[in-house]
Amino acid sequence: MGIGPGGSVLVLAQRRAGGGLCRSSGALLTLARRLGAPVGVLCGPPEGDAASLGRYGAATVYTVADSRRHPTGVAVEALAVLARRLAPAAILIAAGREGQEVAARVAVRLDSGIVTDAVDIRPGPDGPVAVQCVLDRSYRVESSVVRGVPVFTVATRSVAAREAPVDPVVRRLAVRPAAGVREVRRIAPVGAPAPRRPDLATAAVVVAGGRGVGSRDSFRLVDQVAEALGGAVGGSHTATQLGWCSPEAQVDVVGRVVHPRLYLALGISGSVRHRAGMRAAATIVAIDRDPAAPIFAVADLGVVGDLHEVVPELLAEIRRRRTTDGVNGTFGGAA
Amino acid sequence: MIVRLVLGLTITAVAFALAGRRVWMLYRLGRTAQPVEPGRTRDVPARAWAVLTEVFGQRKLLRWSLPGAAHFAVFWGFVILGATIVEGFGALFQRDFHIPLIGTDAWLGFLEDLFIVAVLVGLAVFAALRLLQNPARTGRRSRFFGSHLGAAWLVLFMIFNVMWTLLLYRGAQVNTGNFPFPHGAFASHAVARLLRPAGRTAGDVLETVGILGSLGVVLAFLVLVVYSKHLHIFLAPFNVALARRPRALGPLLPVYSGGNPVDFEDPTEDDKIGRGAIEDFTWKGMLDFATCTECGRCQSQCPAWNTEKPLSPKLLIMNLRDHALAKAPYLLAANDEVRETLPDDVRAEAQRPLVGAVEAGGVIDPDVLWSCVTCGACVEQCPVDIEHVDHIVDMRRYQVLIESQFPKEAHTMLRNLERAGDPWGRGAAARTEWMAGLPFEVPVLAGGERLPEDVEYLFWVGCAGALDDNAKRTSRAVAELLHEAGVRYMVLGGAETCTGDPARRLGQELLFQELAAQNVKTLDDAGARKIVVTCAHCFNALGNEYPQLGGVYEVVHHTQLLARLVGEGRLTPVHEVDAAVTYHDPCYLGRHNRVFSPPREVLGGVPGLRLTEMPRNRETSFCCGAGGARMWMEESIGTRINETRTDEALATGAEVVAAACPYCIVMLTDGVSTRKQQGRAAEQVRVADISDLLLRSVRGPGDGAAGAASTVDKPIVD
Repeated sequence: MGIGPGGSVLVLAQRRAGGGLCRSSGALLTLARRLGAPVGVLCGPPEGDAASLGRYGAATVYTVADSRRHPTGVAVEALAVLARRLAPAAILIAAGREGQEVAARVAVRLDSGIVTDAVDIRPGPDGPVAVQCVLDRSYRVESSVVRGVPVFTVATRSVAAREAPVDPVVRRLAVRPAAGVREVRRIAPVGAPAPRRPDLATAAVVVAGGRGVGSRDSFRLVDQVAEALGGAVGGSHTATQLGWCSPEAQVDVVGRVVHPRLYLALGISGSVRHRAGMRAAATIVAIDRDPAAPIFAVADLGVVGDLHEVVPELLAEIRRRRTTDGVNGTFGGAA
Repeated sequence: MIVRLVLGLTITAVAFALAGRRVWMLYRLGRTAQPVEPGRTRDVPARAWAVLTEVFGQRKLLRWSLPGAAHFAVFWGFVILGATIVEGFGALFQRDFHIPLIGTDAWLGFLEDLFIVAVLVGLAVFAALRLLQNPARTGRRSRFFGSHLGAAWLVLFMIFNVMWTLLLYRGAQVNTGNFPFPHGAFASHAVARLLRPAGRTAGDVLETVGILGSLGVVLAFLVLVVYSKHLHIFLAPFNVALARRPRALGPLLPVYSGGNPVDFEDPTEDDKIGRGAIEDFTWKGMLDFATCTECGRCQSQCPAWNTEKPLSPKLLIMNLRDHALAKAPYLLAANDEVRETLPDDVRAEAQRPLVGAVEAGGVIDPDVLWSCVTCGACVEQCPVDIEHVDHIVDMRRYQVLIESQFPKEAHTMLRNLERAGDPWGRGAAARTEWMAGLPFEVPVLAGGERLPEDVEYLFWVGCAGALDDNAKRTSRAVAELLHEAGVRYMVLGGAETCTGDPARRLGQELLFQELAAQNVKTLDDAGARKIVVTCAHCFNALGNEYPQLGGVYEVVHHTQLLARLVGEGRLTPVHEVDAAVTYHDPCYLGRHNRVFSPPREVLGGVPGLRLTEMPRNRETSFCCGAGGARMWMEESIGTRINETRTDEALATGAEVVAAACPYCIVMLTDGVSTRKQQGRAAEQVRVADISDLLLRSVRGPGDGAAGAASTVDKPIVD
């Protein structure tokens, strides 16, 4: 298909579970503005969110109604229809479970190339260039799609959302997915259970406490930080030995070996047995009272201080920022 | 006379038939087992000496004074009173039979009577001990917990019967004038005086009743012996004679199958790796199980048993014995058709997995198997030289190499050993970190080079010594002390890889062989002759196990070298270290390798140190809990071994707990930190290696040479 004449860029918007748009949508639109004229695609009610997309520069917004029963099917169909109609320069979707599925199906529909988990996209001579960080962030790979409409899923956490307010034109789009697609339908929503802590083995964020935490009561701080960051709770062998956290949470050579993107070590001096369990973390942040603690030799960022003072401040800041950003989104609108 | 002869010979024949049948079955059962590994008959003089001291001298039994003395009496009673059995049988044929030449000497009569009395006293002591330590009352703390108590009382009762019928017979013989000893046999004559009022006829009857009763009891006892744990009286001398010499401690044996070493690079299909079924044990193993006396001395010393874990070395051996006996009909059956006709319970027994949970019918529960720290306290105590540790590791070998069933916590350690050559996966490049900041250059041998002629020692730093923050202190202290003493040494740096000890103790023999072969090549290429180590496990592996792979070196522990340097005046500990100290004997330095004095000599050379020994020290030292690869497993059953040992150390009032192995230092440091957290230890208590204390004394406090251990005392405990 090649680069569209209008130079538009389709952006699939995501909603937060409680309502309102995800931060990721703003980030995607920010990227889209580099490549062309952003066109927002919003599935499901309420349509009022369309105006929010205008804050980030979406001059046109297509709203697609009635997607509750086929949340991904409708999104795929809408993007495919719009792609054929508008011949955009690219389609941007936030990386995530639903996003990857929608992007993959759209790419197959359009017989297009797809690049997933991009951390950045910039315009290039032959079309948009997507940047990925691979192999434990040791390599940057830059790719551009040579066939069809480039489909990109973006790890929006690494993209800053910048506003560029416009008044969007809102158009309604009616789509009816094919019969086969309609066979897969959402039957009934099950009330979201209390947010389940991610499993230590696969969590992207691990918050661990050690001897420095001091007591089982103080260990609640660790729980709170983990919850605030949507991460899993871990403990050094002292913490589990003294009963401050469960034995399954022990991070060390005889316990769990974790590979998170972020490892936050609170009150852990960083003995070799503990390091054997978390060495593979992408980013290590440590808070400990002892400046000579070996953990600081492996930490990317270290805070020397009393964690009982530092952590409450950290918590407050995290909570403050979370009220302004979305974290996990959905396409299907309010369920 | 004819009556007594016929009766006597008849009961003898019956008893021998019954006993013989049983012995024949036991012999055939032993034959279904694997051939024994080579070396069991090597070094006959050492074996003869062992039999002399341990069997006839009752050396190991006498370590526990009271039961030992009582057993000495009963054992020698049986030996000496063998003479009375000869006399008894002789009297069936000739009423006044006496042993030729010496048979009427007063000393013999006295000796026999003395031992009859001694045995009776011994029995009283045994009975009292069994009553005082009745497990029904004291539970797990009693060494008899789990032993077959009824059978034990029956044995004591039968020995008692042997004695009193013997006395009865002898007393009656005195009165009928047929007694061989006119003088000396004080007890028999005393009994005779008691019986005399009964009159001459009664005396004759009593004599006949006495001899038949005495012989009958002895023969009945013979049958009981071959059907009970008392079989040890015949088996123990053989078990001692064939035991590993000098002891079943120190190096583990390589894997043998069918009496031949298994080549792990090219094993055959029929090779039996470890022990997966009872018949996989060697016949020496079966002999071990059959010799067990259920005395429980091993159980009483076991660190696992003493911390509420299900492992008791005694119960382990008993379970294997009972399983072997129960499975015997199956193993001895001529073919499968015969096996089909065996009773259900025998066939069910044959289906039981050797290692498995109770629900699966396992003979040995996995928790039992994996709780072992291979400290060897059981082997040390066993009066009949049973080799518990070898059997446990052999069962582990099968579980690891064939079934791949072992505590999953150890996976990370094994993976790290395979990939990075150390248990924490830090890799070769990290092995030089410990040298940073020392006030001198630690000489590192370049790759591919040989040690220069004038370099006396290769300092093998070990994984902990290079990578564990608490153990690095020891390496630095030793480096500094050697430098101070002018000892020429070099280290291998990144060319070192784990000796393989944890892999071997876990049962991963294949990985051990790979690591060991690699190290032997490195050491031989470097031309290493004398090696000094700071880790007791490296000490054992390099010195005792590497010869199995062709690597023969003179390996010395750092405490031995330091003691020698102090003795020679090359190190002068002049500064006072004012502290109450206690010393923890590492199992692999002390019990396994008999190095007890050098660390104490070093401590003794430091002015100001006041040493108080823990109750369990030297050969009876209580493990820190890290051996047997347990350092790399979680301790989730019962109480913690390291905390138990820490409490014992703290109870001596020591401010410094001295040790000589990084495993012990890590475990005790952990224990002390926990006790401090719980308010049960004073803040100033610390754990230190011997070299640390010596360095302080050599350098003095607040020294200018900031590099080494001295002032920075904070242990790294997460």
